[in-house]
Amino acid sequence: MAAADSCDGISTSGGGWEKTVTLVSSDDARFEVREAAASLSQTVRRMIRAGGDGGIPLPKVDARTLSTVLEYCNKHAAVPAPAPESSSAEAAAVDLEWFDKELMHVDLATLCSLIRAADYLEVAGLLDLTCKTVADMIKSKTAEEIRQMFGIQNDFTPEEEEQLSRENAGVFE
Amino acid sequence: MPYLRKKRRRAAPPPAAIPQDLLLSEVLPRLPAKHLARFKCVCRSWRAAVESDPAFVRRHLELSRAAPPCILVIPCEEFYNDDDDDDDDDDGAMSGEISFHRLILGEAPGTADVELVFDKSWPEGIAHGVLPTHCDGLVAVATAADQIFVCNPATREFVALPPGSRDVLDVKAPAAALGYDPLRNRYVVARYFYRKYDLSKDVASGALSLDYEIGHETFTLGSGGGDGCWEPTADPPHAIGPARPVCTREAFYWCTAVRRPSALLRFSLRDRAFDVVPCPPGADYVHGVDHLTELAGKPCYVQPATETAFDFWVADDDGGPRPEWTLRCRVDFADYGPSVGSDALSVVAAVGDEMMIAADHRNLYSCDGRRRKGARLLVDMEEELAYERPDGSTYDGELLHHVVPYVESLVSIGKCNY
Repeated sequence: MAAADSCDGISTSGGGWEKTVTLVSSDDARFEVREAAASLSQTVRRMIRAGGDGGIPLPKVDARTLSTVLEYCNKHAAVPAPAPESSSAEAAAVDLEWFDKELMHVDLATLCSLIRAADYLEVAGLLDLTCKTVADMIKSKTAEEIRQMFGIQNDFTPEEEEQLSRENAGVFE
Repeated sequence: MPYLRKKRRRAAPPPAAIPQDLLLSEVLPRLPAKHLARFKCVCRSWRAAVESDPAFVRRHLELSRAAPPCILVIPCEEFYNDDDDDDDDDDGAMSGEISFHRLILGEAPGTADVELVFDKSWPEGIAHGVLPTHCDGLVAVATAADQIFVCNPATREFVALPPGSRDVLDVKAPAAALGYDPLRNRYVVARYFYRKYDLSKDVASGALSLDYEIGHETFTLGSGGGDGCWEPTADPPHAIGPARPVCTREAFYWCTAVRRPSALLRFSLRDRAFDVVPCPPGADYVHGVDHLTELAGKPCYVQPATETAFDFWVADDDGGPRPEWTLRCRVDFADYGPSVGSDALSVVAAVGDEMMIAADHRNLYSCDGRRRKGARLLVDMEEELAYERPDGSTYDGELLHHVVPYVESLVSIGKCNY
């Protein structure tokens, strides 16, 4: 996704006239995006409705994260809605699944930025995807490993810890 | 030592930057309960969320409902209490344990398996004749000895409800209804009981007549302290028969007994009152021939159509005075002979037009309601499944495989954490 310097305009990409909007990241990079893709973000959709010129400022998302979010939006907004049982619908679903999987091949820090961005921009599908990915990553971790991953203090008293381990003693994996 | 630990060594990578509230509201609710049990030990706020934060418990349930359907199997030793004649005196028909297993369907036929979710030993004995019902991760198990247990297999909570009003039937067709009352935000168990039950046969005509007095009562879960009591409701307007009750989000449906009148008794959870709902057009409810089940949260009446096929009727459960029955589909079990559904038949999962049907406590079929193809055997539970205990031993002997739809949840039985 290249940064573009135009204001909201009309582009001819995809063979037809499509309305575009310009999004501006926290570090002032400008992204020209099809409105259909940008509207997957409820936050952006509301701002488009509110109107204004010079692009939509997104002060909580940096360029690197925003470009990944827009990669997701472009892909997901591009999917037409064919008859639910046609073979092309099935192929499109498989393709999307594959795309999502590839997009999630990033480190934990990047994932966390994406979760924060998806939450702020209200991109429900991306929030679901990223949270599921983190959930899968932490599934097999111990409590101590989790604390390290997320910088959480263990604030239990030794007595409470003992009680918790007693409660968990009967749990089999 | 103060309970805040020393600062960690520097070697660990810098912690990932994700706000606690996002972790708690979006990431953790996507984890299965068995992992959450371990993560309660991370810190106090995580423990509080998992155990007692209604927003967390509700979000976890919501995500769990949106996940692909899940099926729970409860294996029980075979029993012979098929009708409600109270002549068998089977004190020996008790089991010292009950277990809940998650069904795992393999890609290829014949590769189904079960995973033990929870296993509870109960030395006082659980009668073999059981009937489980499910609502939001809770399973109510009613027994032929008129006991009712409520279990959340995911959180390993298991509660025996106190005995309800005495039933004059010594051996009872096990039945309890379990549902959610949105008005009071509580889960509710219901049962019926007979104060008087005299079934007689007219010698000349052979017609059965029943002289009875029936009562109905509810037990509200989550009232705190783990105790509570049975509260009487209005008496049902007709005698209730031995069929499995249906629990939708609005109401419980019970079947009438002895065929007259042929109708369903709808107990509204909102109004706590009964009304009489007619069966679908042309249906005359006969226990063991017709079946009542749920389909996508609505009451579903299963009526024999041909020797091997059943019609599935669905009614809207909007609380209106006269639910309209719509014929949803016909499912033919032609490849499996005429005996399918001679004992029990229920829909245990439905996604779009695909249904999964449990029949006769033994087989699971799949069918596509729209394509009008016949049903296809998915799992012969008797042949294919081996139920393991935690110690690795397996359940032996003739088993009845009770199947219920299942949505994992953290919903507590004793306290209201939702």
